[in-house]
Amino acid sequence: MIQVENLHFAYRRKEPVLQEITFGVSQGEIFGILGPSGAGKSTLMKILIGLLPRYGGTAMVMGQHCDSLKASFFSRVGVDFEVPSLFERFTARENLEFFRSLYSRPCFQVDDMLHQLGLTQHADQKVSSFSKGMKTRLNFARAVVNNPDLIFLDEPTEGLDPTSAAAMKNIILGLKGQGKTIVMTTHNMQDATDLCDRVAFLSAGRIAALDTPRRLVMKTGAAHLTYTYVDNGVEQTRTTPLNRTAEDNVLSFLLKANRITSIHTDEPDLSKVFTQVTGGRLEP
Amino acid sequence: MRRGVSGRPFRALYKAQRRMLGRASTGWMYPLLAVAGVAVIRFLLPEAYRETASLLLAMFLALGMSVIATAAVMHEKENGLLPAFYISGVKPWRYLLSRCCYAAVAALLSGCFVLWFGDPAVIRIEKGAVDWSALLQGNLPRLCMGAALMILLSVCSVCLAMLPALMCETLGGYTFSGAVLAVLLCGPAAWDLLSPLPQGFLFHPAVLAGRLIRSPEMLTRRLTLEPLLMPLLSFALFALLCLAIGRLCAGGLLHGKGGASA
Repeated sequence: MIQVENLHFAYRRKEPVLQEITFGVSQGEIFGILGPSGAGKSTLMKILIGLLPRYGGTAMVMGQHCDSLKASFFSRVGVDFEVPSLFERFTARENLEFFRSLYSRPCFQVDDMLHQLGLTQHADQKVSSFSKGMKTRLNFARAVVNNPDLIFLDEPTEGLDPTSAAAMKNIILGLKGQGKTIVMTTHNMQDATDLCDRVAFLSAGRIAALDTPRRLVMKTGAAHLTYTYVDNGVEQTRTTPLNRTAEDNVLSFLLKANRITSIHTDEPDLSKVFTQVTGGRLEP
Repeated sequence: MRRGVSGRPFRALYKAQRRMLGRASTGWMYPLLAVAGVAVIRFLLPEAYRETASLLLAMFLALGMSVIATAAVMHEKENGLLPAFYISGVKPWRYLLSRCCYAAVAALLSGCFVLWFGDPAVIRIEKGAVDWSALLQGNLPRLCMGAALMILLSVCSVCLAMLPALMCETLGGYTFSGAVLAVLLCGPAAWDLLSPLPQGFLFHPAVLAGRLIRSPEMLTRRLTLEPLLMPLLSFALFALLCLAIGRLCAGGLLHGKGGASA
C-alpha cells in the first residue's frame, strides 16, 4: 500500500526535516509514526498525501508516486488533520454533506457516522458552538466520510475525554476490520500500543526503530518481576529479572509459603523504549 | 452507504462560499450599490455621467469582487479548509472558478446597468415599455459585449486578488495587502479618469474595460474597430495573464502554502 525508500526532505533554505526514511505499510495494517513535536511526523504525512511534492528518494502510495498523484488517488484517501478542517458556520450535518458531495465514489451515510461518534444530538448545531473534543470527532468523520481505503490520522485522540477516546479507538479498529489501511501519527504511546500493528520511532527526522510495539518493548531488555512480602512485621520489596526467577530462592520460598502480598511485572512501556532508543522524550 | 452527490464539487464550493460569507456578500448588493452611485453622478454631473459611469462601475466591480472572493479564501485558510479541499481532489481550476462564479453573476448584472446608465440609447423605454426593436437592431450586441467584458473584468480581479491571499497568513495581513491592491487598482483608473491627458492608454483592467464598454461605436453597425484594437488586445492579454496568476495561486493555496498544517 505504501512504499517509502531513502526519503529525504528539507524546507526551502532550512535544515533537513527528514533523512533516509525507509519503510513499507501493508494493506489492512495500522502503522504508527511516533515522535515528539518537531520530529517530522506531519511533514512525512504531508509528503505521503502529496502536499509536499518536492522531496528526494522514493515515496509511493497505492502505486502512485507522491509527487504526481492522480485524481483517483484522492477519492480513495481520507486525512484527519490535526487542526480541525471544518466550516464553522455550517452545522455538523452540513459539513459532512458538503465534503461528501466532493466525491464520486460511494460514501458513508452521514447520520450513521454522527451516531457512531456520538454527535447525533448535535447534528444540527453550528460547529462554532462545538467543544474541542466534538470538533475532533467531527473532523474524524469528515476524513472518513468518503469510505477511503487508506486513512491518515494525525493525533486522532488529541483533546478527547477517555470515553470518547475509547470510542474513537473502537471505530479505528472497526475500520481496520473492514480492510482499511491506517497510518497514524501520535505522541501518545498508549494509543500506539492499543491500535498499531507496527510503529516507527521518528527522531530528528530519522527512523530510530521500527517494529511491533511488543517486540520493541522486548528488545530493550528483560522485564523485571517485583514482589512484596511481610518479614517480621515489616513489608519488604524485591525485584528479579523475569528470565531469572527460577534462580531466586527467596521468591521460591515465599511462593511455597504463600507469603507474597503483591506481585507484578514492570515491563518498559513504549515511552521508556523511545527514550532508550532515541535518547529523547516521546511526550512533548 | 450510498453514492455521494457526484460531479458537483464546483456547485458545492460555490454554495459553501455563499454560506460562509453570509448575507453581506450577496451578489445582488453590488449592482444595486453601483447603480446608486452612478445615479448620483448622473444627478450631480449630468454632462459627464456617460463618460464616468462605466468606468466607475468597472472599478467598483474590480474592488468589490476581489474583496468578496478573497474574504472567502481567507476564511477557508484560517479554518484549515484548503488542505482538506486539496485532499478531496478539488482541482485548482475548479476552485478558482468557483470563487469567480459569484463575481460573474454580479458582473453580468453590472454590465447591463453600465449600458443602461452609461448610454440610455442602448435600452430605450417608450411609453413605459422597453423598445425591443431598437435592441435587436444593433444595440443587443453592445449589451452582450458590455456584460461579457464586465464578467471578464471581475474574473481578472478575483484572479489577481488570489495573490495576496496566497501570501498572507492572517486576515489582518490580507487587509493591508488588500488596501495596497486597491490603490494599485484604483489609482491608475482614477488618474485616467481625472487627468487632462488623453485617456485609455493605461495597461489596467478597469481602465481598459471601462473604455471598451463606453465606446459608442463598439459593435454597432457603425463599428470601427481600429481605435479599439489595442485596448481590446491588451485586455485579452491581461485576462490571460490574470487567469494564469489565479490558477497558480489557487494551486499554491490548495497545496497548503500558508494553510493549516497537516
